[in-house]
Amino acid sequence: MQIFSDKAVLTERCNGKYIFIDNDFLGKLFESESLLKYIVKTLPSSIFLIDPYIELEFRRDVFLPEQRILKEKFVNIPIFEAVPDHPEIYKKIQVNALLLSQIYAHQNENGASLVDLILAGRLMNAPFTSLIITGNRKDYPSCIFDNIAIINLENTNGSAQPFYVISFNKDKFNGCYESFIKLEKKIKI
Amino acid sequence: MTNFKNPKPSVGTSSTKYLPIKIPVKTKVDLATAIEDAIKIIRENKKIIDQEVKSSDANLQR
Repeated sequence: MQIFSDKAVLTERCNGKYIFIDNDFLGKLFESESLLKYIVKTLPSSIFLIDPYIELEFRRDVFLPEQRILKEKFVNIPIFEAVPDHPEIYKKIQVNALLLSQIYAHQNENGASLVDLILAGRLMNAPFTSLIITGNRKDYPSCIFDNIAIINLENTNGSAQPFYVISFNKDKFNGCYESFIKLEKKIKI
Repeated sequence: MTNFKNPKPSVGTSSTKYLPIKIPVKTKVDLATAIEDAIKIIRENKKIIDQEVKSSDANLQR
């Protein structure tokens, strides 16, 4: 699998940050030695975090016991860290997820799953120190999130599959939130 | 009764420390070992997938 990416940009903008891995990217890492080596060597000071819901998505619905064991071993290698579910943080994440879903609807950007909302909520809670890597850009609308870097993978059939490293844009969020709140204030129920 | 009464966004600042625990610093050796372990798992998984594909092909041809 060939990787087309600007290594210097990736290192400059992403190294040293907490990086939340979406399930599609985790699945790709599980398939590709070259991608795994590339990411770990390009971002040696980054901390790759697996959210509990992402782990659940990754490990669910596996028929073969051998694969179940391999998937469990994979998420436990020290390249990845589990996100600790501290109750005080988790409460904030849940509220963030709820607000984001309502703002997305207001911005006509529906379709993000519950897990994507939780991940977005985590990013929102620590925007200066964290990023998300995802294959589905639509789950993190550009009315709030920015592309920081793009990693293009060449599939076996020659087509390209992009993965986006995204960040939370506080100014964009504040703009969306203000217009969302203004609308709510006009309603008297 | 709601779990989310009057929800307010929680947007971190530049001084927000994300995690309440300290993540151990990884040495080059740790990372190299972890990469090797991961590669073994990836190769094992590929073998399993290839075996499954072969056996389903064999079943189709019967």
